[in-house]
Amino acid sequence: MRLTIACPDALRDDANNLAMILGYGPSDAKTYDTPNWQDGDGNLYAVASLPVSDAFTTAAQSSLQRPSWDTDSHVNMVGANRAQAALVFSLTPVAAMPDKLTACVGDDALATLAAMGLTHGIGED
Amino acid sequence: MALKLGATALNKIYLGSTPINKAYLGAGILFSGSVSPSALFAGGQEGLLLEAFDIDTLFQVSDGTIPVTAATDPVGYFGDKSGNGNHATQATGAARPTYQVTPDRITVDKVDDRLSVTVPTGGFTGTMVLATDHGTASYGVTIPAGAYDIGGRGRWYFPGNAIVGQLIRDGALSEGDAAATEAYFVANGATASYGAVTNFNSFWRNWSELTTFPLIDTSAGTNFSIAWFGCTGLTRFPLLDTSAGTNLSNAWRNCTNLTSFPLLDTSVGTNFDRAWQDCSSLTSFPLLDTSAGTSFGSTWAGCTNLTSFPLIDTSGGTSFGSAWQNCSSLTSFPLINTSAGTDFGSAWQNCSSLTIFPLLDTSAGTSFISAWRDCTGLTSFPLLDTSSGTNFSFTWFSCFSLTSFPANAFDNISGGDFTNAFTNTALNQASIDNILVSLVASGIAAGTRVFDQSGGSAPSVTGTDAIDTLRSRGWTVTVTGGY
Repeated sequence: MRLTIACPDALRDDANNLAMILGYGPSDAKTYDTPNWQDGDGNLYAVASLPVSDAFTTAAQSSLQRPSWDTDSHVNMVGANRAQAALVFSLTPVAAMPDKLTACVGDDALATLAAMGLTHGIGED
Repeated sequence: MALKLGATALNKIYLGSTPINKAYLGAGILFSGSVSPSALFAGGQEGLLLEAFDIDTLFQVSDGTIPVTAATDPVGYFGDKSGNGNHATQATGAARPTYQVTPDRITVDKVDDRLSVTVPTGGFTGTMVLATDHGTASYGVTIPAGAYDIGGRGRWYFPGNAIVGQLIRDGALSEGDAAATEAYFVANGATASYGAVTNFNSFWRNWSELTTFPLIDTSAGTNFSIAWFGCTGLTRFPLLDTSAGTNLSNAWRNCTNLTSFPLLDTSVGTNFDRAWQDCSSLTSFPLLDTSAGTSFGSTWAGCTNLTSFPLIDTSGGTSFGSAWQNCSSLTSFPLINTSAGTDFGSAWQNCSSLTIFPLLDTSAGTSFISAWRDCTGLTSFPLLDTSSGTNFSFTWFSCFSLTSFPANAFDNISGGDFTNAFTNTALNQASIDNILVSLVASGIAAGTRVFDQSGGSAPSVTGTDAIDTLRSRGWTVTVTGGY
């Protein structure tokens, strides 16, 4: 299944730390990049979309462990836990929330973002 | 089977100058043109060749480890087959596109997926052949050194949903070689034509590397919004078939180097909002069929080098807000049909080279906010019908040369907001008197009632008497001379 995630600008650092734990390594610190999607109230979000397994969603909702590659404590575990606490997981699109990491299942990432109430404006590249 | 000339296998055969994809001997294939275009780099040319149908070049991780073996596997490494080592990679897991089969392709989510190539010093100036699940085409390109996204500009904009193959060569391909490369990709799963695509929204948006655009089949397209927005490298545009296009909003916006524009068929277009905004190198505009157009918001705004404008059919237009704003080189304006227009806000703002203005039908206009603001070349103004107008704030603001204004212009208007309407103008005494007397004739004694004038002449007794009447009706009036 495909998961599309909206990350509020203020949560990006924490969410990128969570991404490093759930993903492959330090390069996943760029998962939530430029916050150039916005909701109807003007709140900005960075977004990511990826195919995931059931194991991924289970791991995302389980106790977080420092990755084996992170021998020099690169990952901010406190921040990652904050991001996990803000995670809202839904099997159907729900509105993106400015204080939550909203993750929705949907085959078409753009359609999912639209259903989450997010738009990517013309002048925001 | 390989066709040989002596001991040499032939990669291509031609009928005249046209490359042949397949040749048969009876029912058997004697020659297949599906030979990898890697030979196009045999002379040491720089560039890259990516083939999604060669699974041996695909790996899940950006360091070229963990081979892609099955559909839905992520692709973090897309190996270059040109021999130049310009592999496309993605280190961030969530941003990796996915491999799909039947046909073999790399699918991008158009949200965050992208593969990046590091273009070497000197960049690439030549040809790009891009083969997708929606269509295949060859483009002229100039790509500077540095990171270059394969699979969509800025992650979002891509003419399709999947890459089947992509070739970029430093040094232009001949038409024959480009056609043969396209045929090769099509033979390996790419869709040949864009002819079935209806929605071209954002397909080539911000592809500033494009220097020429091909004559592809766009005949089924209904939505061209933002399709070529920001294609700043294009100087010309081909005569594409846009005859089914209804939404042309932002289609060529910010194509700042287009010096000409073809006579496309835009006859069913309804939404032209910002279609040519900031096409600042256009000096003229063709007589397009815009007869179905209803929305012309900012359509030609920022076309700063247009010196003339054609008598297009805008009879269905309701919104003209900012339509010609900052067309500062226009020296004349045609008598187009604007009779259905309701919004003229900033429509001709800063058309500073206009010295006269035609007697357009503006009778349905309600908003004239800043409509002729900064039209510094206007010396006179016609007796337009603005009887539906409710808001005239800043309408003639900073028309420094405007001396003459007709009588009875506002006798039948519908609202009294003239905030800064005539601030920084050069109205002569008869004109400011005309205006004030006409406002009295309007009878407006409710709602917003503000009038501002500065510069030019103070009103005569005729005007000051009118001011007294207006003030008695609740107006706030500021005029030159301070009465």
